[in-house]
Amino acid sequence: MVDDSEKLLTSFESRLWILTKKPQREDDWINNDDDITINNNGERYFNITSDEFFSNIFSSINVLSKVELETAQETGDLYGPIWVTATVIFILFFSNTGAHKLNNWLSGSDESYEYDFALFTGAISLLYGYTVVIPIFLYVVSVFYFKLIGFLSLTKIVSIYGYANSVWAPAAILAMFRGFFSNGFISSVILWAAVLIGGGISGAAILSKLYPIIRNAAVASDNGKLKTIYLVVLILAHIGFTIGVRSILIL
Amino acid sequence: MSGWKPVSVDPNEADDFDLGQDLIEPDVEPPQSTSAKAKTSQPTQQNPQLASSSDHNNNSFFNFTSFTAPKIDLSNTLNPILQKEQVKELRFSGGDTLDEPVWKTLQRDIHSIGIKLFSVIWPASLSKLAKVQQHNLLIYARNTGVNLGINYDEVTNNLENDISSTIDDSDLKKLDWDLWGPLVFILLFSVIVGVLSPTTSNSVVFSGVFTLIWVTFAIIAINIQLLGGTISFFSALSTTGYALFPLLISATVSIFVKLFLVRFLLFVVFVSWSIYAATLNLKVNGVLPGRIFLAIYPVGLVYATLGWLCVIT
Repeated sequence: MVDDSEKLLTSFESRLWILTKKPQREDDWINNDDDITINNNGERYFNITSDEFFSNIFSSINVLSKVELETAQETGDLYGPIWVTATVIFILFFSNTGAHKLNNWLSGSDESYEYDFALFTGAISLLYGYTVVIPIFLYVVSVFYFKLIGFLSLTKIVSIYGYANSVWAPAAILAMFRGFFSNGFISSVILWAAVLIGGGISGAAILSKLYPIIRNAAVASDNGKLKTIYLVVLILAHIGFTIGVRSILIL
Repeated sequence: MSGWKPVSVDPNEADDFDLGQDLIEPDVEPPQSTSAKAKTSQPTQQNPQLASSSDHNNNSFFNFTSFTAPKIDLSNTLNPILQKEQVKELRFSGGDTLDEPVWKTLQRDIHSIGIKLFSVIWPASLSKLAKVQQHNLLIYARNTGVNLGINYDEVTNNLENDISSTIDDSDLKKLDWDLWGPLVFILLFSVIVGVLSPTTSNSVVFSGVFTLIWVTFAIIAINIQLLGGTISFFSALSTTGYALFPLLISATVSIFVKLFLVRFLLFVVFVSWSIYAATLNLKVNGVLPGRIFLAIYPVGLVYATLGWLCVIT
């Protein structure tokens, strides 16, 4: 296959390159820091392992843990934003249809529930839209308009927003249990609890990672008011997003 | 797949490639002196006197026969580069499929489809092969310096010696990709979902589901390829498509069974079967050891979505 011969060639070329570098020890080239196989543009953003993926998710759910300051050089991975968001969309769909199914099953009503593809497309545009559009807006405004120094890279911001979505998965499963109650009050309490947990934790995860950077950048560019404006805009955007997710849950 | 291909170019002479002279094989056999000279395994450049003494048209390297059956001993020249790998020289053995009966061609395709289908129905048959392949990929990753979250210092230095059994290349050849499985299974699956759909617009649901599955499978295959390893795009597409088979069974059953609880249990069983089969197949086809979960997770997500579609309709 063409692909394999290319892979073979890359490994072959990289070895030649290593030979010209003349390592001190025999093992030196094995743990080389500059990653020689990652020359492809796409593969750079998918260069993570399973363990790193899980630690990213836990650090975004456990907002009370100490946050390591992100550095401007980090690229961040795009695996998380794409697939964590896809998971949340699937679970929102699952939760919505599952709640109706449970309710019908327990109340013994025979009316068949027909799912709605608008739910699917709406969830896709809301979640992917928020995860991509807000970071692009944030990046463009900070780097090209305010010309902040030491700001994060675009992919890193997308990565932060994407991993922050992960808390919506348990929240949506919690929302599914409202199907057990035909009582309107209890089910709406459960729904609100789920929405507040999801919105609150994901917002805290985003801000705890972004705010230190924004504050440092604002201080560095002698514009103290800027950090307050950023904070207000980001929080308002997140509240809007949370309300949007709630409307998908009850659709 | 991931087997080492023979490298049939001598770096000493690779720069002198000039195919203009000797594209046509000479009618007369090369004189005895040339073949005797080639047996000494010394490149001709180093004995110019010997080369000039023979017929000047009959340069031993640019002879056509030297392309089909190279006589240069690569294992010596490449030794400093390929430290522990073996270099084999193989004749081209593509085989002749022009003259064979059509039935034989079809039979070969059906046989290869059957083998891949069996590897999905009984995934445990691949477990040994998967283990060996993962070990090979670990060696590959160590040699090329891919980040797998493993400290290669802690892994024993002689990974090459740890390997208990070597793989037969033909085992991998049998699992070579094709798109018959994905085509047939996706087609059948969309027909079933279209028939199951509650509305009158069966054809819209059929075409929508058919397109959606192909697009998501393509995205999954790109994702797997971007994660690295030796797997190719079509190999990933083929693997995930063949592993759709258990879901097809679940969809077929749900035509006849309307009970929600039974459908849900079937959903759980058959989706986990699909995911297990896809995992082992991806391991064999060359996903890197530390990234198996990352490769299989989106696949499982799509299988779960498709299965759930059958449960709720």
